[in-house]
Amino acid sequence: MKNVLFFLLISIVLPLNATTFNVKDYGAKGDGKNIDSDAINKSIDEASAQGGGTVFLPAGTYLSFSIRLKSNITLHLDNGAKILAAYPEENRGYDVAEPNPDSMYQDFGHSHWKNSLIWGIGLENITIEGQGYIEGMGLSREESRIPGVGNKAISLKECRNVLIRDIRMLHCGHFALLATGVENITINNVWVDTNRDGFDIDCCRNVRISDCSVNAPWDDAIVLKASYGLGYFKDTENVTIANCFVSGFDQGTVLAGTYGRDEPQAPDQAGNTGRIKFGTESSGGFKNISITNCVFERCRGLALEVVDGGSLEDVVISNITMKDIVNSPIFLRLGARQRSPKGTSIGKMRRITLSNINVYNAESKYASIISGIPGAYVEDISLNNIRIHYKGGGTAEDAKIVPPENEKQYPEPLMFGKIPTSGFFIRHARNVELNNVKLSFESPDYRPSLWLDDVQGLRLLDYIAPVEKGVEPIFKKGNVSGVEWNSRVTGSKD
Amino acid sequence: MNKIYLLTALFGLFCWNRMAFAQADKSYSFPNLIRGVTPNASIECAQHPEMAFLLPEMAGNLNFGIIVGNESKWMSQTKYHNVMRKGNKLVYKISDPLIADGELFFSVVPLQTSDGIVLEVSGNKLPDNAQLFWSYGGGYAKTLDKSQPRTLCPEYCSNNVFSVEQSAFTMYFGVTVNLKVVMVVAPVSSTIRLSDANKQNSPLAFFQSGKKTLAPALSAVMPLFNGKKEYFCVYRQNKEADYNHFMLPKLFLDLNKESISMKK
Repeated sequence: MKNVLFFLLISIVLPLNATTFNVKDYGAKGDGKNIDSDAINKSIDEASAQGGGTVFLPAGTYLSFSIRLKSNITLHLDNGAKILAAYPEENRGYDVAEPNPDSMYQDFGHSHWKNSLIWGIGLENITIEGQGYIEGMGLSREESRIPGVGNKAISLKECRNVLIRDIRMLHCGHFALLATGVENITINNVWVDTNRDGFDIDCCRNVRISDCSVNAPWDDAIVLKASYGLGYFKDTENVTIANCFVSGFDQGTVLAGTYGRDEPQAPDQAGNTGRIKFGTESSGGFKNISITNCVFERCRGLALEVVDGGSLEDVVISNITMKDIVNSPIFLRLGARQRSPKGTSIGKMRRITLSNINVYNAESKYASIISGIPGAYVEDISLNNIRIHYKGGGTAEDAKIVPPENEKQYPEPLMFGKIPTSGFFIRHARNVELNNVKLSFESPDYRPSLWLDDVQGLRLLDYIAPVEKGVEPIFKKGNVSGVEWNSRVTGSKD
Repeated sequence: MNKIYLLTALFGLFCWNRMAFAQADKSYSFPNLIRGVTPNASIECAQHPEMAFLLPEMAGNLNFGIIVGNESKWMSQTKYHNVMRKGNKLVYKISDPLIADGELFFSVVPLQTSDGIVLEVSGNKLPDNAQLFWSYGGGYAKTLDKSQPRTLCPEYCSNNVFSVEQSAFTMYFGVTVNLKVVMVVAPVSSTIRLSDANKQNSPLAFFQSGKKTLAPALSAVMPLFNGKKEYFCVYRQNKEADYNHFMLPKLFLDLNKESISMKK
């Protein structure tokens, strides 16, 4: 009898201490016409006041301005639920961007967090989950500073223990997710189809990204950064990215399942983006990072860039396939843009291993690039089991080009103009190994397969590439030493 | 029987002429000049509401049409259109059998903060199903000589990228190392489509042309309501020029006051 009474008591008391807070109980309409963010925020406040819980959004469209997360809150978007970013009006809009005295060191979007659809600063134990949508139609991808304009779908600063899973995100402004200074973040099974960056992981430690699809034809899909947005230097480190698909199909067509190819250009006029990248913001460093089992399609190639003073080191990237790549399939750049506080020294790029990479139909104009700057070397680079099928088409005239250094320029393969090699352009590098590398070309290419300048230590093991008749396989511009190769160094057509 | 052949031939000739008129309707001039705020930047305006933004490179063409049901025509094809300059403001008046007894008014004032304009559209006695068509495109990024058309030419459109946000958009054009950007804010009731600048036979044909093209431009339709004022703004963003749709009525009013005081 005592047990029966106990269970009866529990069944009465539990609803009163509910850990699930349905936003419709707090006034949300979910009709896509009324602004529901006030009701959602009220639900969050109530849940937070009770020590935390799940804020539940049932099926419906929740037109919203800023939703302010709190610690110990799970925001659950049920299947059929959509948070729709509203378009700002004269007297209401998104939370105003907070002041940041260090905003000059990175773009406006990176420097503020509150001007977002969903944001949290200094929180812990937060989850955004469910099979619903976040659609950012009212967000901006551009540079408007008007108070009330929002430019990020989810924005987190200096939070701890974050989980984002299962949601779908469409047209999200500057970022689908900006996580800055977050410790311990897991992103799993999230589908993004957006008009600028997908995930920007900036100055974060202990990051798990897995089983995600990110279509970002107009900017980077998954990008690791180490900006100075926090006002102090911080590395992005201990990161794994696994089992992800990144692409640059027409915006919205991946989530629609149609994979459109009608729009060939990104705003920067350099072809569709949609890649995995390190940088550009790189005041801090990138350390201890593993990327594996990822697929690229109709986008730019893998880009590792450190140009603002940080160190990029101890990186392993393996089991990657790429198809229809519009610029360098592999781009490693140590530069000296130095968009960092005065006195920041030039960064480092070292101990990087790329293995098991298969590329089909890559643009040949920029070949693949491994480049430091005079006096600052890319070091200890190992490329193993690499197969690249380039478009080809390079000419003997192209082979005469000596690309500019452009030490301070924004890093992108096109910064050097057309590259005088069909395979790898390697400059200001030490201890590079190309092991079991096979290149092929759709059209004949009349440039050397390798172009070397200021390279100390290059091991070519089973490097096989066709070279047209009369073209020297390897061009050494100067200051090249310690080049070793085995008997299969080239597959010359001579 | 011969009469039937003759009538058929005459009808064919009439249709051909109509088509030829529609296709060749790009030879008109843009004699009305609005100065930009930076040296050499100007907005050249036609005798009907159509503007070419020469900043000083060709940064796009803003054009308008009317749609009523399944019929549409360019403003250049309307039976009556005229333009008057009031101070530094241009005022267009449009009437046409397509809108019956209706009239449309377009007022264009230059921005003081950026190379660009604010444009107010209003109408009265319009048919219930009247829609305004607008298009923007043609970021050629080159300076045009006097002989080159100011209209939306497909060859000006190559690689133009349009980032549409609700009813505002940014057009990116030029080359990477010298990327150009122009911003446009249009009425929120606009339905905007990426379209094919090769297919401008009529506003409706343009709007329905599809986005698979090497000459992308934007086309849009929006409802027109008697007495309701709608606003457009074309500008280059800077610290002083950063606009959203809700700011345009006051912006127009302020610039219009300045225009009137200039006239005095």
